[in-house]
Amino acid sequence: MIEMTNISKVYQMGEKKVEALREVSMKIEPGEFIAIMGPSGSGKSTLLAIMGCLEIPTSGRYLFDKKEVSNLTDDELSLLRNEKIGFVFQAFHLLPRFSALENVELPLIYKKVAKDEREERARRCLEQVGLGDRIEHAPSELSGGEQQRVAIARALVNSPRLILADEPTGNLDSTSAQEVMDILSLLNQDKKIMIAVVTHNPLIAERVKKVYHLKDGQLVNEAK
Amino acid sequence: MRLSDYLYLAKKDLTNYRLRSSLIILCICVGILSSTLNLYHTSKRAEELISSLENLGGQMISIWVQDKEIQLEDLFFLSSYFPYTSYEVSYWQDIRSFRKTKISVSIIATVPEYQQVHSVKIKEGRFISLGDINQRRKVCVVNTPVASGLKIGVGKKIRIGEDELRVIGLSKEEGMSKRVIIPLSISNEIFESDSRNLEVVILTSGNPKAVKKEIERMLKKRFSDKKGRTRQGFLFESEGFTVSIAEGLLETIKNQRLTSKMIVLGIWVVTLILAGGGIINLIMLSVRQRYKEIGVMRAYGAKKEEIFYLFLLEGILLSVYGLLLAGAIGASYVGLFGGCKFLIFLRELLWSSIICIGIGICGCFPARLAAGISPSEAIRDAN
Repeated sequence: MIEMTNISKVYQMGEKKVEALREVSMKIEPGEFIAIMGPSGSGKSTLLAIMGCLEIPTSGRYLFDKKEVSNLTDDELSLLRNEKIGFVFQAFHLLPRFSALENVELPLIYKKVAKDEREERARRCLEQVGLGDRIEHAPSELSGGEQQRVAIARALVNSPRLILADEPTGNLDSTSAQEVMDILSLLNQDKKIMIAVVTHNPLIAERVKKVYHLKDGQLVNEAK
Repeated sequence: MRLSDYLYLAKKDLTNYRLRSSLIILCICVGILSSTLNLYHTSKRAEELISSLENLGGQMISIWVQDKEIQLEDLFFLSSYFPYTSYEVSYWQDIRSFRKTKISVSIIATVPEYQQVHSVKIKEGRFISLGDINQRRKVCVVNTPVASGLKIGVGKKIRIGEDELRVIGLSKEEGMSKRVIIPLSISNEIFESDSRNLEVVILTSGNPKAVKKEIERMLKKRFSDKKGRTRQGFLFESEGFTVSIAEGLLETIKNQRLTSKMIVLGIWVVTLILAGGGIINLIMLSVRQRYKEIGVMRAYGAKKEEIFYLFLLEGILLSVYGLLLAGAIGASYVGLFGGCKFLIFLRELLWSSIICIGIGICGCFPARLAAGISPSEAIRDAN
């Protein structure tokens, strides 16, 4: 379970302070699928970065599985991200020199999983997202939709508790976007993985259980 | 992260910058190869000299005659005290064969004891004999470089100025400078006495320092008496004699090694600046180009230290590849042209590999920068 209470994030830009998040509180129950919406600069990505333990809030309390994230060291945060969180980015962020299989293996390398087991688990994840026949392909040989499915397989490979997707369909055509959302919905239903999606797309927001709206770093309302 | 995974990731990254990586490897290779071969040749030469000194079975003491009034004959009395005493006059001179081929050689006019004192091995014919000395025979012994230079052998004649000398022996001094040995008794007929370079070499099994002192005492006593004036104080310093034991030669070898090491140090500094700078540049570029990847790696659980070691390893791998390439080229050279002293080469290669540590340290700086990248910033900037 994720519980955020009065989370604020302030960035120091030279002498100027920029408040990216103000007193945001939210709760995501196990197996929940939520969407975060809002205009550009409203603090969606910052909220996602804090949820993903990539950033530490300036103030407030963030509990991930009842653990206070602010008290963790950098190494402990890395471990938490590795074991419990999966990321899906708008621009996929696959490593260009690696094949689809090797890209999916990446989180397992940091978990010190042996090569054979790594390959086996990565292969299974790629099959799960319908790319069993494309495992040796480099990212440049895959379509946008396929690359995003590789990214989902990479997010999935460590059996995370939470998947954070930042505009996962932003660079995709409508068919591929539909496929990606189908996969995420299926993972949420079958594996009870918490999923948080940042999106501008109201059609995607319609498919989730809860939608949070952010404006100027503040949570303005909670829909559904 | 396991070591095998570090290697796997680092190799993948380096192949992405093939040309730059190859240039740095080449630079490291040239630095290591030149320093290793420099050390190798100095060490090989030193070991050969030390081994030949050891083979003599005793210690050599040299007396250089600087006083022009003193003749070599004045020192013949030393033979009655030291049985293995060689009297030598050396000159630099051009010699010719009958085919008119001309080469510049070192000519040593000496006595039969020279062979024993200097461990000269005869390949063909014989060495200078007492008969040659007494009968003032115009004969000579040449070494292999002279024989092959003039294309002559035993029985043939060579010309020194207007004099013709018959070759009676061929010595086995391979790799040495060109040398012709003639009887001491004919040197005055062939050369002007002013151009002489007199040396007496004594081979002794006694304590060399004690023997040296004894020789100095004998020389002082004899020559101050002979000339009827006291020459103590300057006789052995500036214009009389210089008596030195072979330890002095060992000291020279050590000094040569020191000089060689200083040269190598210079090569190391240049290599460190070029290769180290190249590595910093390459890894900095790699860090900049892989900024977003570092963010992704950190997001997926890579620790700061894992990023640091990954980039550091890339620098170290380049050094190791450079070292291996230098080792392979150097070993081939040693095998083909350098005398096959592989153990010496390996020892000097290990010495030179110190530079790899220095180059590895250069990689720390960009690796620290890479480790310090904030994952959220890297991902946000990439978006």
